[in-house]
Amino acid sequence: MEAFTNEEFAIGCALSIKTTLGDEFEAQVIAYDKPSNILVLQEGVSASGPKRDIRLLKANYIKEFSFLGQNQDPLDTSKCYLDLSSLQAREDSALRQAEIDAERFGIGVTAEAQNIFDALSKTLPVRWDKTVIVVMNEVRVSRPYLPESVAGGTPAANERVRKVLELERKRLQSRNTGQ
Amino acid sequence: MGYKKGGRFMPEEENGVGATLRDALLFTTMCIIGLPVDVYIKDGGVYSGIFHTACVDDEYAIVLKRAKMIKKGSREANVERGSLIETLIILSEDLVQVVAKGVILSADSIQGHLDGDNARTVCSNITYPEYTKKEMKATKSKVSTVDGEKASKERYVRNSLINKQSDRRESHESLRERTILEVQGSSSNVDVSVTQAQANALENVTFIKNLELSSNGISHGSPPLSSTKLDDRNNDRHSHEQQTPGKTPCLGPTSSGAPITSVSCVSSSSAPADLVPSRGSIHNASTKESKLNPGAKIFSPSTLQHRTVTPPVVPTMAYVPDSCPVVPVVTAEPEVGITPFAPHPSVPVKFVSYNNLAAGNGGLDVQYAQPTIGYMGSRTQPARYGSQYHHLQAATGYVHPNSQNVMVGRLGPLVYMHPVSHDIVQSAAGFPQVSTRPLLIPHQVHPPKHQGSTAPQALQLYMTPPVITGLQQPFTIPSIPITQASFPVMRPMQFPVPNGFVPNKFV
Repeated sequence: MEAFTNEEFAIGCALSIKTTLGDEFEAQVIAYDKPSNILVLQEGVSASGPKRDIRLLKANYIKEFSFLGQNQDPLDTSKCYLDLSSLQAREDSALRQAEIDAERFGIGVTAEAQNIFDALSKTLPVRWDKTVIVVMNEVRVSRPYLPESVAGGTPAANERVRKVLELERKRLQSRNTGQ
Repeated sequence: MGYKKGGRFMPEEENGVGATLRDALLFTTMCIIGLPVDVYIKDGGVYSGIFHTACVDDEYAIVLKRAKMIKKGSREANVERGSLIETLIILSEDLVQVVAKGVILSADSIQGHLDGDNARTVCSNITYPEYTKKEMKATKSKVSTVDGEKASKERYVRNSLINKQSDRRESHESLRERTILEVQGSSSNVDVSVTQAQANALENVTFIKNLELSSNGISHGSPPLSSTKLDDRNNDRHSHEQQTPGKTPCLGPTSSGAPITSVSCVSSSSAPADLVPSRGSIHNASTKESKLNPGAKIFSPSTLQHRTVTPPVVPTMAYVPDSCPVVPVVTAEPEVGITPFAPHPSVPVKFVSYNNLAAGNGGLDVQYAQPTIGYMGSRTQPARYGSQYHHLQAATGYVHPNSQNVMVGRLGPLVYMHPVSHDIVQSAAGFPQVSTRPLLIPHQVHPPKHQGSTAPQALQLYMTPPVITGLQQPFTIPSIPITQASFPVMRPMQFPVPNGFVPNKFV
């Protein structure tokens, strides 16, 4: 088994792998970490640009694989360089972004509701209050998010939200039918 | 770090190789930090989140931030579907697979993340001439494509190159800012080394790269050479490209042509400059002085104020050498009369006010006024304006401040680099002077208007020249902190100047 591992998981191998979860993909071995039994794979190398998809796969979840070819070691350790601060910055910004995005996602709402929310958010300040879309902090749009379900707020605001909602619904509908 | 592929899996070398194996995993792990990843769990569930960290001892467990279940597994989990988990720890035994998309391994990863996707492909490799040997293979193909459309691409490449450098500088700066707050003023070289140390401590893989980096910086160290150096590298790199000798002398000219380019150019120039030890030391000295100087205002850290104060009394020429940025400016400007003021531009805004005050109070207004104007014009256009429009001026002092403010506003957002800030400072200094002049001398009041009108033009032009200056002079990195400080200063300065004068005048 040792020899098997040595040969088949040698760095640079291109493998077609099927996992026990039913995933199937082709990737190149970047490294194999024996202590944790993790295979570091990369995909999409041939695609333009240095970007690639990285997979860290536990080797014991490999159902089967076939050997496609041998390439060079994809990881040139001499040019491995990490900038910790940029890593940190990247994570921070990713977290911030995730936070912003998270607030935009209604929890327990339908995709249609989310679409309406997104559409409204283009023109009006909106937020979720559970499943209710709160527009301009005063007008509440509850299920099923029809113009009739607009409630609260000053008459002017209410009317405005109704109008926008109607328009956005039409737009969404035409987009859906268009597709 | 150079381990052989063959040796990796030799059982007898297991002990020795173990570390390197870990390194490879560790490196890839670090490369995906902060990226959104999908984590497959043993029961088939999939969680998506931001890769936060991992445990690489023995067991490979990972921590996700803001994780969300995107596919439910077969088993009951303590995670509700659709809810957001602030921090999700996935233990080794549950982990099947981690998938990160769009990862960049290797040295160019940092640059890639810092700047847009656009420049990366062409430039990433080009930017690091030092790494060429190893990267050559990879680069070759890309470079060849560049060759395909030489004319159009070449410029693009250069721009991107510049951007790259600026990016790299940025990364260093940011690093430095974090790590070396106390050392702020210290020379960039030191900073770099510190960075290296940090990086090394945390990640062995970095080692070689860092060394190269440092060598890079050193090579850039000498200001005059830096530009040439750059080009040399370019030539090496793109010898096949059309690199004409005319272009070689320095990047500044080429980039200066387009305004946008010039901005980037500034950054690039600054990058080499940062590394220069002498500059850094000077800046240090200045910062220290400011600390020591009780009179110094909070916003401008540099000692420049000190020096500025003196200049009004004594001809500034002596100071020119002292202020690093000034020197190039002075040389560039043809007019001798301007020289007294020349030192000012280099000095933070504060100093401008001093000049004005000194001039106004001393009654030297007339003499200085023309020079000043000339100086103002000189950057964009030599003293002409001052002489020509001398008598025409009717505008009030306030007009200028406004224009200045506007200008500053523009400048600030465009370039947050040091060189730019310098320029801004200079321009600001020039303007205040102008504005003050009118106040002091009635008939000269007019010139301000013209200058005001010219000022905008001048500003545009200004942008480029300063940039060039920046290129020539390598003081950039240390100044960054200073620059930021100076920005706030700028506004206050300008406002106070007109106000202060007005009262004086009227009084």
